[in-house]
Amino acid sequence: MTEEAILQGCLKNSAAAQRELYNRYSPKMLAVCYRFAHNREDAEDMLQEGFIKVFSQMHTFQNKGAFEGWIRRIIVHTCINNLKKNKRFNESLDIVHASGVQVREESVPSIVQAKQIVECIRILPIGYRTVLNLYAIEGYSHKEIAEMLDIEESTSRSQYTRAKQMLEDILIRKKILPKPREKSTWLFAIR
Amino acid sequence: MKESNFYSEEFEQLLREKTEQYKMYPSEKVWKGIHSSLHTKRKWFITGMSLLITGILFFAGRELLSPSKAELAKRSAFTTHSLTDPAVASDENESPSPLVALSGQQRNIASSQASKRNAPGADDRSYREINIRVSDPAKSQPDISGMLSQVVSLPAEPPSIPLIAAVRMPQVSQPAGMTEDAGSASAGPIAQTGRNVIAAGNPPAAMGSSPTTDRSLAFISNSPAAAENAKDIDLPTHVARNNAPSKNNLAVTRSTTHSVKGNETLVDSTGKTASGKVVFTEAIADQQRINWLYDYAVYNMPAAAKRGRKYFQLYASPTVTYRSLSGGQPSKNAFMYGDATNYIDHKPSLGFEVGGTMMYRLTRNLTVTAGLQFNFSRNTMKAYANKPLQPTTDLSSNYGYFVDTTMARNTGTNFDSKAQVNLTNDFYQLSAPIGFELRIMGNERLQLNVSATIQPSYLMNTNSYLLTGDYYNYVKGPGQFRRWNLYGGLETFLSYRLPNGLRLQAGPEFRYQLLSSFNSSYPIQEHLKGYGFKIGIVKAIP
Repeated sequence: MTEEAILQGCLKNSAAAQRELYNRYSPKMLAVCYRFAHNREDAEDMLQEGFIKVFSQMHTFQNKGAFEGWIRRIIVHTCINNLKKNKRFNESLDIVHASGVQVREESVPSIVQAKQIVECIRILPIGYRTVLNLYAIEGYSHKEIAEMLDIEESTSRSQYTRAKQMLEDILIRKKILPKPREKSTWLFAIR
Repeated sequence: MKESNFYSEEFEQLLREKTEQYKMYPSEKVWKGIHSSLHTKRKWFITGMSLLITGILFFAGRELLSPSKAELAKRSAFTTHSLTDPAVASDENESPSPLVALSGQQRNIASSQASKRNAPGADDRSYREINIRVSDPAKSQPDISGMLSQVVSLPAEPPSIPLIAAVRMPQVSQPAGMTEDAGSASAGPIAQTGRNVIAAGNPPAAMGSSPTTDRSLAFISNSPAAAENAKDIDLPTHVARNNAPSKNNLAVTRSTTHSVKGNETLVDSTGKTASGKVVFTEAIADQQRINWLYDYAVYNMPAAAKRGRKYFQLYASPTVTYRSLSGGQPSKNAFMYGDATNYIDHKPSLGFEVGGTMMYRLTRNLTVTAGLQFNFSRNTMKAYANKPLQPTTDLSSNYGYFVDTTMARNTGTNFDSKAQVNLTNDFYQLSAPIGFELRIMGNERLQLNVSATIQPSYLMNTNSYLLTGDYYNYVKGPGQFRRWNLYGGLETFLSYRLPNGLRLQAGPEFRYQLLSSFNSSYPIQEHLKGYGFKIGIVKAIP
């Protein structure tokens, strides 16, 4: 069944087409929700709510971009709206700006398990995790993130910097990333 | 992304790639939640409307055909006040309703017109022509007359009014409220109509203990005005009555015309004489008519025939049949998983069922049933015309790890954008429903019942389609259908007894197929769900 046929079927409220669409995209979208949510149950709730929005707003899709991207945006916004209902999430965003965080120069190995990385992301505090998800994975700019989360743009930047630092530490601790070389050793070698 | 340097971009690239690779498969309840939120509004609407209509039918029918006690009391009070002197009504019914207020005006009318009715023929006319005065301005006289004509249907000729020959027996004590004074109008009144005589004041032992007598006495003792208006009246007929509550004693004896004056001696039914003051009132005579009707109904009307325990029911029902599919994993389609019902556009179609049931009434409320029933059910699937292929249908293997297939020639495809066709699945079945009926509300005339049955069924014929292993095509495979199946049935219905003894039944029913339509070798399970409106007629078997 082509994507065009699925879209037409969904516009006619066809259960078969809706199921086909759901089957195609729900695994990826659940992974998206899972990165934002506290647990799998919350993620499934977000997914369900998101897909109901997708089907009910199907007529607004105008074929100007990728259909998957359109669905993904709806799902992400649904996740954010769910998180914003949580008081702890709002409080976690109010942190001081990060400064002076070093960025290691080593390149990361290309072969790591996807699931391990996702689980490591989920270890991050919810504020860090959200900004990291939106910026590094979903590709939103800090300006867009600030609007979505009702925070300052600078806050988004600092949150992201801290989140990235923390995630690297976690990945290293879990031996998914190798330990960085000592800076002094590097400088000594230059001499 | 301006703030990302080379290394951070590499880091983000890694995160993006790895998270994109990660997939999670949601549980089935997620889709069910989505599906129910998108498609179940109509089901709720149908269910709600069915319940609403059934409830309205029941309560409307109960109030119209078998009114509640309050309604009956209201009608009874209306009738009594219209036909009799209000003093009686005030004794029996103390309701302050407008209908009771009506009687307040009737009191003086009855007394003042008593002398006019002594003329020959006046009794018959007054019996048929009932004057109604209404104190409630909201109710017009024609309205009340219309209501009254629906409540009471009077025969063309007035009944022979029995005479109560009331003889004061000095040996027996009087009941409370009645005086011993022979000269007082309230002590020993006798009421008279044009032809009949009623003498009151005899002791309870002589009058018997029937409620009709009590009502008369109560009226007499409370109606001094009426007593004064009825003195020295000619009596065309004397009828003595023994009020003992037996059928034979209801017979009356007529005598020749006789004139009774105040303080004159009367002759009772036993031929003994007694003296006492006689008071005649038209209102008492009316009350006695009602008493007579009451006695006639109690002692002379034939008793209702004893009902049997066995009944036979014939019924028919238009039905709509839905189906639910479950199980099965398409072996040749990577994009599809889960229940096949989610990939199929199917909708119910109209079918029917007819049958007969033998019923045996175990208790007043519980009846067991067994019968035979023919079912025709149909559902429709949306498909697309396709060139003939030879797709395969998955069959479950006995070993569990290997999927067998069977080949068949297809006639339609499940997904495509070509010409759309509707495929119908037809089932012809013979069932033997066995179950019970339980009366939950109502009386013998109108009842609300629930019923449950278990229905072993045999599939006589079918014209249905199977879904192929990739969920893409439909094929015919009659060998894959289960011949013997089992259904469960639930229904609720209103039952109304007609005057000729037959009962009419009507109500919604639900029928569910407990075993899959297909053999166990076919991986998909199909269960049919039928909704119908059953109409039946029940006859008692002697």
